Amino acid sequence: MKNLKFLLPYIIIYSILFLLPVSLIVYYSLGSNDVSHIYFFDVIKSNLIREVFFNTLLYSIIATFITSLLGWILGFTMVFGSSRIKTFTSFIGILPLLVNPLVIIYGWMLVLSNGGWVNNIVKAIFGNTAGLQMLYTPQAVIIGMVYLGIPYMTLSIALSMLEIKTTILSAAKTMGASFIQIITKIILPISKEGIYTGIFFVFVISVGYYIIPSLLGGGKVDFISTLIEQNVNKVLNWPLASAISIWMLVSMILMFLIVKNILIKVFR
Amino acid sequence: MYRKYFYLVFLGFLFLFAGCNKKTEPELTFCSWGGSYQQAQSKSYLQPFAQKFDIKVNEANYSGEFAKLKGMVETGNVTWDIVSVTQSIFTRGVKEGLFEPLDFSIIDTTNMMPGTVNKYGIAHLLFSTILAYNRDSYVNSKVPSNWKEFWDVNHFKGKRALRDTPIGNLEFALLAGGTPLDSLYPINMDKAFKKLDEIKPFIRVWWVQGQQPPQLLSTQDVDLSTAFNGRIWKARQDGQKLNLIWNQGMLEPEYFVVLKGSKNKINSFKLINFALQAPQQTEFVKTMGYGPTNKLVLKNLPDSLRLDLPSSDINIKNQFMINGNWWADNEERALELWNKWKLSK
Repeated sequence: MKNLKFLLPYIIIYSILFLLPVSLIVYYSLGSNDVSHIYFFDVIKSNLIREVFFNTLLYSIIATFITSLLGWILGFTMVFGSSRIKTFTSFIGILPLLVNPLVIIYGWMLVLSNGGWVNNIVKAIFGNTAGLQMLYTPQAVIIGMVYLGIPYMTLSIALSMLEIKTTILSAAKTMGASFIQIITKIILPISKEGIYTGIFFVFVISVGYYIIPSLLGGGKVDFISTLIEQNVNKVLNWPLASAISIWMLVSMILMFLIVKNILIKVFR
Repeated sequence: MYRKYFYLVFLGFLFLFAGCNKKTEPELTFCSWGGSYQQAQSKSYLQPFAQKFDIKVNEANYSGEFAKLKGMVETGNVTWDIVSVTQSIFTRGVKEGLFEPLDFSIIDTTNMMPGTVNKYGIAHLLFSTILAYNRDSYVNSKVPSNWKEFWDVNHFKGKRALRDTPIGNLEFALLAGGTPLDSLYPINMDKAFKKLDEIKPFIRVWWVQGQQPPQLLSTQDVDLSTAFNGRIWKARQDGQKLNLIWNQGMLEPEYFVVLKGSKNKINSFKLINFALQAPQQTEFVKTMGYGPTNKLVLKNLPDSLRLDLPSSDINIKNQFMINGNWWADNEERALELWNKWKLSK
């Protein structure tokens, strides 16, 4: 308990700036002044909201999976590559963090749009005047999510890989281990913790996106945040919006517990 | 023992709140719909006003979210003073008491057209929600000329976009289903949504901001879209190959209102008065192509521009005027149904 005094400022700040508003939201979601109707349970009863929850989770899982593959490769080259590759990949890995997300998304809109360079190349090669429809599709949303998620994944994986001593690798090599064996038997198991952290970070961030589905999805891909925004700004049903956000918070905490207590222990 | 930390935290909060302190230079905040529309307002109303009266005018923008206005007034945290609102927002806001009554000793309305002046707001322009298209997409094929043809995806090709709101779209759906122009209201929502079901799979984008349609059309991300007439006019003025169809468009006045509880009431009235006068309105119409509400303006406009306005005799013939009263009573329910409809498969 000696460390409590260091925690005190955080406890005070968090309870005023976080716990207080959140408990207000809980109060709203329980119906606030209108006790006869508890919005909290409307969320599970509504097919629509359940479907949007499911969609959000699905897109986030897909995006997280792709991010973890790309992030692992990037992290690997960042740690074990030659010095020139290291600088290059570290720059690429961190780049999305340095630019404002809104700018990034508008950039992607230019790239993916009908008059973007990707479509111009497609049109030039295949003579297809209509071009591919890439913008305003679920795929575009996933591309945006992956791009913004990559730095978190790469950095946490690279950090865990830094713990691997090069002597272990050279020992494995002299014992005759192939490149694939080195990766599966040494690097993967040791970088596992980093992958879990990365997955957790990227997943939690993905689930909360609002701007990506609304801009890259053209109003056709709906996330939980879209629902919350609709209820707050348009329908004016603040109790329902609060109830949805509480469910979102609860499911995120559950997710954290699952990753922390089950995934990591089972695959240790 | 812990007292030191309490002091530190306390001090931190003091600094936090010290930052909230305001200075008292005369200023006000003007909120409108962004994009080329707000630029035109800024150029013809706000900047000349700021120069002439030495009052700083801040700008904000929104996409017609009624909740934002309501939230500001109800929490007493009014950060927007003047807001440019559509007919449906205006009628609903008056019913819910969100606006300050205007002071007509400051605002001179002698030259305003009949029907534009209200106790709580003054119509400053007339705009139209119409069907717009990219001319390049229709070099070899026919362009739809009404909503029935917009709904007919087999005979009229093109990627389509609609605005993400029931306002206007329900009317267009009814028109597509064959309801005559003069018996749209009261809207039969079941019928309208059933008709909208038909077009839903073919909608590429649900646009939100008024600036989106000219952008989407000029990059040919969509070929057909509903749009506000001035934005298309402006894009054409800037050299885009866009065109619009007045037939079965929806006319709607746009109002200036002052939010209840505004701290800069008097200056806001001054700005409204300034913006309604003929020289400013003429300047605005010339940059944006919306219909003026000051009687003196039309005389001073060149004929070519007058024919492009939503209120010109030829264009107004086959349009309908939005029924603000119906929307004020039904918008909430329509929005709820709309959101459900849009999310459902």
